[in-house]
Amino acid sequence: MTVGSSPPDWSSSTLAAPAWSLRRRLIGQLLLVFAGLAVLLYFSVQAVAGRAADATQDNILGASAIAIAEQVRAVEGAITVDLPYAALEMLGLAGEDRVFYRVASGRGALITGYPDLPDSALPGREDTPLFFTGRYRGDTVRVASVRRSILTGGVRETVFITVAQTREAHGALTVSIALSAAGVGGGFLALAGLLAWIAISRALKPVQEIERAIAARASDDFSPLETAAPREILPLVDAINAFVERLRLTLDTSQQFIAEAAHRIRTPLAALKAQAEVSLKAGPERTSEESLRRMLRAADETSQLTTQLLTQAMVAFRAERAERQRLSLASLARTAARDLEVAAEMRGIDFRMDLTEDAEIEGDEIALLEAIRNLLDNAIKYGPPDDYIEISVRADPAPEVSVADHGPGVPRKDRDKVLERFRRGAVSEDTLGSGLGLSIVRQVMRAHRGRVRLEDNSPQGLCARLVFPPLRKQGKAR
Amino acid sequence: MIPRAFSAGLVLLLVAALLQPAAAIEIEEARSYPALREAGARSLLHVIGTTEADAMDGIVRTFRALQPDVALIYHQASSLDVYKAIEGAVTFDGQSYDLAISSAMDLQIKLVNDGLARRHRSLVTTRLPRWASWRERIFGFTREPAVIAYDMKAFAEAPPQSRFELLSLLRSEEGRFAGRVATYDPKVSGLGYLFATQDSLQSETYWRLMEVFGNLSARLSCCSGEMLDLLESGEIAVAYNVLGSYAQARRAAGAPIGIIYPQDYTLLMVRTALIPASSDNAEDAGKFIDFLVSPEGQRVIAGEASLAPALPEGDEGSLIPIRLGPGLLVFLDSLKRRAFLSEWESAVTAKR
Repeated sequence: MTVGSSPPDWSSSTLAAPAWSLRRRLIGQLLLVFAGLAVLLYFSVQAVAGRAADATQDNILGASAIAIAEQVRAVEGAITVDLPYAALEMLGLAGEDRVFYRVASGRGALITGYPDLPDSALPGREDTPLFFTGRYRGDTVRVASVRRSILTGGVRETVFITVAQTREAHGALTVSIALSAAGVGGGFLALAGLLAWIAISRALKPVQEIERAIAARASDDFSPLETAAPREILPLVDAINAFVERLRLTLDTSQQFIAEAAHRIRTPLAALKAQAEVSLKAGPERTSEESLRRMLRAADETSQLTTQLLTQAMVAFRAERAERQRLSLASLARTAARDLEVAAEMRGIDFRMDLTEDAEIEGDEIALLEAIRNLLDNAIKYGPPDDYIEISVRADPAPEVSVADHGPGVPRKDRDKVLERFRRGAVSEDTLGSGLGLSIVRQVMRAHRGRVRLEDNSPQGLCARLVFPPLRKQGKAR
Repeated sequence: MIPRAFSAGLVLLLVAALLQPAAAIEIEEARSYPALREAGARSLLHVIGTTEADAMDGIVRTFRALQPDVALIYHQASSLDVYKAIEGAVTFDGQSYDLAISSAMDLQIKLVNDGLARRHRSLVTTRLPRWASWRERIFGFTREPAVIAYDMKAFAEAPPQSRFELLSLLRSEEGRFAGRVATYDPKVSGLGYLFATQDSLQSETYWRLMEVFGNLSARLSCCSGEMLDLLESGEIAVAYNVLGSYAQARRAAGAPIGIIYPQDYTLLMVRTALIPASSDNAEDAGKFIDFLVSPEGQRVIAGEASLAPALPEGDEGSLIPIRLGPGLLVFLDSLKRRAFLSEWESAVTAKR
């Protein structure tokens, strides 16, 4: 747990990576889609327009050719045609295109008109005109051709009537329709873009509201956000609220810790001060050995308390922040045991170790060492002198370190309490202690997703077990 | 055509016999207008047209004042000869005709349709009304009615106002009008053929009128000017399908000529100009066209040249403009032309 309260740093980490705009990305993708649709619209309109323009010109050309065909006559054995005025006049109604015509007999002899007009590849049909596009006198022409058979001097003679027209009006019509289509497409694109912009802005409004709500909030306001967020944004709001709640709890705990720590340190210091004043008043001759010993005890107590408070802060910090590394529980246990060898010897206590070498976990070495040392320290303090303490490491079913003594143990009802800060067991009144040891252990184990279990040792005493999650599972969970 | 007095200062060229080019077209009259700016005769513009040289005179003079660098020769010819000159790319003394002006709309349209005219586009021509241009190659600069002209001395009573009234009058008084009526000979005159064919499209009355003309041994003429001369000299009493503009000019000059805009319908002819594809001086030809259709050119045409007579007012409905378009090609079809002329011939010579 961090004791020093540095303000949470919002600008770092995930929130402020190179910023991209959701709105711009949406608009961009939508416009891309719309542009595709507009292009599709343009080409389909153009294709339809082209066919419509073709059909219009074909209709007039066909009507013209049929009108001429109807005027083909056999007069005194010769085929003649009385060109109807309307036949060519109607071709001049839509536009100013050049017009050509030819009437020729089946044998290819010209009856009248332009002799070099292009021929249809297929034979013309009676009554139904045949259409094709060709070139004549330097221009592209649309040609309609019909066939008519006529009886002349007892012989059936086929007459081909061909009417051709240049395609300028057709081209102009197609271009003008295509331009309109392009205009419509462009307008569609612009309108769609505008509407998309408005729609996206409206859709993103809740996000802005949340941003405003957070920005406007006082730094000590930890109440949950209350905005009418849509279903899609709700998880974000919930996440923010959950985070704020955690932050509040963390800050609360820190403040409680500081208040309590201050109080705890003040008491032995006051006692020390009082002893010193009494001794000072009494003068050097009357200062008893007893009062000096009390002062020393008070100073010891203060020192140990301070050390443990700082240790806890350090351990909590490391447990939360430090890099995890792969560690062997057996070597951790050995290191912790070696550190406390001298303290154990002073009470005539041996360590008996039962270590499985392949128990491995991931974690922070310094914090874990501190936790195991705390357990050993407690066992040395509360266990009977001239005894032994069992240290064991197991790999199955989960990695585990346990420390067992033969002291008075902790009654079942007090076991949760002793794990809290500044709580001490009922038997510890005479023993020097801060009440922080087990709470440090619990904190370290929480940071490693493990648990502390306090159990009865047989026939008597306490067995403290640190159970870690299995390595593979832990790896997966991270 | 009887030549008129020529303005002093102009060089008159009578070239009909002298400079006849290979393809036989007949130039009735040619007038040369040297460039006003003596030193810089930048270019020479050959205009061939059916319009009387006198009528063109004012137009050419005003144009020349605007383009002092351009020398111009106006060649007057019949409408068929104008057509032949352009169609055969005939040259004059080795030089091309740069502009063709004709009253025979059908022949002009055929030149354009067959790709023998050059495109011309300018600020002025884009503002022209729909009736005045086709394919940006042919430009109308007058609208002239086909009228019935009569000798006022020969009519004591009110003159007929329509073809039907004329028909009744001629039928009832054959002796009075025998040999004293005239109309175009469509075999000779392109404009006459255009009027005749358009008449035949409008009404059957035309054919009956031609039959009566045949009965009266009508005079057949090449041109409006000739018919008006006959009227002026009193040789004939009625001329059918005369150009209203020419008749009005005579009247304005004091001739006792009456003009009837037939109430059943009055054909409106558009006098057109085009730049032949064979032109060597299309640039100046384009300037001449721009001038013809410009407000200034129109003012000269209406005033000095008398080519745009006031049209009868309040009776717009009887005016039938001949449309510039491919329909005009129909009567140029050789079979159609042969058939039409033979029908016309048989009508006019029916009881002769």
